[in-house]
Amino acid sequence: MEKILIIDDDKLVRKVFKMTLMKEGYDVLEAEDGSSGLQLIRSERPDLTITDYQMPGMNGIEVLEEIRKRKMSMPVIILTAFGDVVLTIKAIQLGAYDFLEKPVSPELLKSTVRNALESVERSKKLVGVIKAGVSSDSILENNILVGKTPRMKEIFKSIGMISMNKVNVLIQGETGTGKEMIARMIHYSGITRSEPLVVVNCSALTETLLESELFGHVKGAFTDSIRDKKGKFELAGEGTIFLDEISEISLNTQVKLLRVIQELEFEKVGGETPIPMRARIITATNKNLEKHIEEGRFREDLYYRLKVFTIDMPPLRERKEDINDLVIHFLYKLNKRYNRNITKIGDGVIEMLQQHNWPGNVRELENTILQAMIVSKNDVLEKENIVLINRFQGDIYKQEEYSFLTTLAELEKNYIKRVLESVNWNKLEASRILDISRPTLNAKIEKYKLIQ
Amino acid sequence: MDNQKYPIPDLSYLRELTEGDEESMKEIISIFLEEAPKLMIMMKESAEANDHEKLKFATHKLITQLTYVGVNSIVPEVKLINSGSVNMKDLDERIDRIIIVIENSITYLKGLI
Repeated sequence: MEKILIIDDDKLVRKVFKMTLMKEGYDVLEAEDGSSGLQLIRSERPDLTITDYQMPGMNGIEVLEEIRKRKMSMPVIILTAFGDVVLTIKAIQLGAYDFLEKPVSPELLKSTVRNALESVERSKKLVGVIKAGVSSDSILENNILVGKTPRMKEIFKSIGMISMNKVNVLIQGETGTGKEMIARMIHYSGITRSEPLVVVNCSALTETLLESELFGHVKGAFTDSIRDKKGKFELAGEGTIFLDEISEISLNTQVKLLRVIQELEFEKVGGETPIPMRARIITATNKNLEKHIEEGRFREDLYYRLKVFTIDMPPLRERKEDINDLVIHFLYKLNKRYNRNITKIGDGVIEMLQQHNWPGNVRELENTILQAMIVSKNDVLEKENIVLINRFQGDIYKQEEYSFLTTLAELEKNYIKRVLESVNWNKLEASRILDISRPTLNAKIEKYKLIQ
Repeated sequence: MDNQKYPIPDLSYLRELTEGDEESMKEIISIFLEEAPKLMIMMKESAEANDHEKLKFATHKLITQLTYVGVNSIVPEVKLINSGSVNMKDLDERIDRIIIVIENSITYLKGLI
């Protein structure tokens, strides 16, 4: 009979779990805190441990760390009252079998325990890949991903797994779903976190420029190359190179990239000395690469080299339950960045946002919140300040009143004025918010005769 | 106090957990009756003392307890307090409201065992 240890200071949880598991024929041990749990682990050698995260004294992660320090490979399931991205990733990195949110249904408990016990042998073999160097929370917090939906939780778990080794990762998803954020999370949450992260947008450069950017060039390689230049692969060192919009690279560059991956070395443009490539490659695309392969626009061999591990980012319309948390996250982040103090969410705002289709995904949501914050006159994110653009029908609709309707030029003039006032006429900041260049902003200020 | 204002606990989840076993249900309810008052006091005192860590701990524990015995109506409110996103000036009022609902549920549940 397999022995299961439950560590939880909550008597009720211990009772419910014990009752459920005993009915399944398991021998169940109980401990009400981490240290007595560890004593039982030493004396009773259970086959599996289930521990709460939040307990007086040692928390569940510390219990897990102690177990792993003792080179014990038993599966550990961690419980918490809420899904927490940082904790989930940390727990998975440390080798937790799973991270479950309370209350856990009997069916989920039984199936998780059954699967965990079945994987004990496999788990023993995996011990070697668990390494020290779990990410610092502060860096993770700055690159936080928000999501409690099952698909996002699975993505967080995947990040926990792949961040501890340097496999190449392909991130697929629509524009604005947060692919770069995932790349940053992978980089900063694991073994590469103290190494450089280099981001390259492959669609922004011509073929020649891209090759020079990626591999660097030697003096004299081009007419205006007056000195040697390091490429992004070299700058990435032992860290990560993130190639965004990988579908946009030419077939010629694809051949060169494939060679880098195969040979783990490259030469600068115009150079002959091989330079070793030690970085992890993360690529992202919003295109269907398999279709590109069929059409002869993307090399199949390169595709398989890049997608050793694949992450599919769901569009926001498929995870609308996350909108509430995303809005709170953006309010927190944007308040800090733009020195605002919008701390409340008006009635019906979340429901209204959940009705929208979000073709621009999370990025569109963030921009919508920022826009509403800028025009807000109090500390509440109000429905009437939220402008949702329905791209499919091409109309802009506001939730309540239409009385303000005016010409596009008038709207633009007033909006630019509002943004400028909000940032105390800091034109750099205003052009960033408006997503236009400084010269364009200056031209519009002149056109509309805006005065500070 | 008007008991009719507050929904009675929904025991369907507890029935599912115990597969309808009356003794197990009573045992779980007894534990709730023993534990919930301690957590209510901890929640109230930690809020008064501005001890956010302790408040988080108490609400974390309450969420699970309340869900098991089906006091579902106030779980979102307890979660909100646990997440730390409640305005401090509304906190006392919210906690008082939660306590009233739990006390009513305790009275109801005592009648079942």
